[in-house]
Amino acid sequence: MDFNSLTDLHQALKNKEISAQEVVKQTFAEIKEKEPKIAAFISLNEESSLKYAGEIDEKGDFSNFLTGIPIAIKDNIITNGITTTAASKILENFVPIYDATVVKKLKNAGAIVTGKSNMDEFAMGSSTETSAFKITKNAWDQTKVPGGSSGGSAAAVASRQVLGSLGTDTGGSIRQPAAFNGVVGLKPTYGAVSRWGVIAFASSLDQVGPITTNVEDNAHLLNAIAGHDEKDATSAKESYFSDYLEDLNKGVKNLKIGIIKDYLTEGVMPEVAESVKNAATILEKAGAKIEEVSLPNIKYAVPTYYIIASSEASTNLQRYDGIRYGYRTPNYHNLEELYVNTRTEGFGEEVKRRIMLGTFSLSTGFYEAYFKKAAQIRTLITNDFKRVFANYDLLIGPTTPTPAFGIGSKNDDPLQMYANDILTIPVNLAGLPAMSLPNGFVDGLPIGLQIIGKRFDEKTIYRLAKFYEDETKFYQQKPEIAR
Amino acid sequence: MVTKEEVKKIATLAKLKYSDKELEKFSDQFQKIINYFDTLAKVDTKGVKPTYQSNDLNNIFRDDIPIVSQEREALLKNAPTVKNNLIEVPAIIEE
Repeated sequence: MDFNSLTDLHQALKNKEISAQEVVKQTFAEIKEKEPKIAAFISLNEESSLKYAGEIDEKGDFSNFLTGIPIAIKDNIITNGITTTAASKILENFVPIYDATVVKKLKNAGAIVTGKSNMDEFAMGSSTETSAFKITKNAWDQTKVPGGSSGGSAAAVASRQVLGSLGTDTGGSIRQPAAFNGVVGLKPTYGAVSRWGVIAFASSLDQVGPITTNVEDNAHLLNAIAGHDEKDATSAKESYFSDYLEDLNKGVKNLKIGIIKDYLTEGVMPEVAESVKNAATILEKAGAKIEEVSLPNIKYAVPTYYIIASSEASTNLQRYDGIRYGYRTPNYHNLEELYVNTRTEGFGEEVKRRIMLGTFSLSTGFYEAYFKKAAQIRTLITNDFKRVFANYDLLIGPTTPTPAFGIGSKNDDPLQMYANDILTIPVNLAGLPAMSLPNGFVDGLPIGLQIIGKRFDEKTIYRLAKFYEDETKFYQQKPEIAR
Repeated sequence: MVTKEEVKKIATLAKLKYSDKELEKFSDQFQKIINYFDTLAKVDTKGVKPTYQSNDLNNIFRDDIPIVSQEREALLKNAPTVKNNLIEVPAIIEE
């Protein structure tokens, strides 16, 4: 790709230096060259992308930021006429008959859906290894995982196959792969982006968000997808929304920033902790006020999350029964066998494990001790954030305890895999917005700075992120595959 | 302690099945995760209200007016088997 950002690409389209059709052709040439190494996509949408680009060129109106711009969509987001699998065998042949609200909004803005990106099955995983179809590789080192569950969306952007994508984040699924691939990923406030047409994993935690190579592009993409949607009952009212680019260039002077000390200790690599302290020094020099803060209940976040998310998943995934759509087993003699064999053959190991954990946590005799207990601790974690946000504008910490780990290295130990989400989960439980921003390298692999904001205050996250990006210019470093 | 029999019972509730061989490995892993969940027991949550959702919305109401959301023909395209314009399922009453 001759362009480094959506902003560059938009300018070139607007100035008629390149046509939308040329952009699409160039994009698919990149994809064909890089996919054998990265494997970021489950399906591609070449023919209709080209056709749509032709229609856009004919109209010739590129005033909208996204017009003519190729975007990858995570495969748990419904796309009309394009197979949508959630990386599961149970939906292998599912062709949706409508678009998710976020897809509709992107299309209305003129964006071109180039393909569906790989992910952990039903977004359950932190490495994209639970996909039923392929293993996506990290853009910086193809022996490492791309993170997950939005591993395809992050690796596709990092390897510059596309310059923007959508992911979903239930417990870190946008931020962790963004950190592992050295790109910018934002999980919006719960309720900021419609979940209508997004294949449900844990409905009280799931949010769709943008992944891009830089901060400004990210705010543009969020502008396009955020907003009230009457089809999603948990969608926020219109009054909560404003232009996410508004405060982009305001700098960090007088911002009150808390550095979360609980995020710098247990299990966090010293180099990763050091990178956050360096960031604090840079921000302080520029006039921000930095102080250490503590969130004492964060240490319970991982088991709390896995009880709540698995419980919601076990309920949401009841719908896959082999009757109305999706895979149906050929091995049955009665209805019960049809249900059981369809689900046993259709779901992968990790998805079944989560359904089992959720069914257990919600079952008679265990509900009080597990599901209700976790929901109460969720309140304590939320209150921790409320307390510190009374005195601070933003919080910072690392996105992940370590850089990307090796493919296959954590597969046999679910608890070790779950523990990797410790720094991203708390935000989902509290419904807050948070970004992962490139923050340098450890052993040649990118790591992320996590910036957490108040509810519906994505603007201030973008403000800090833009300043820090301009200071450090980490985004200018590209993996070899993108040079 | 979750016994293998209990794991089997949970699988029945979840409409899943584990073979005896799979059950060996799975029960062990399952037990370890439940033990990890049990670390929450020590947290004092007396009088704490549970949180089931993070936004402050209450019930959302609308008028009960029927609308066509999707056409039948389009919806049936994804059904595994269709007969007489209806989704075909196995007999539920055994002979």
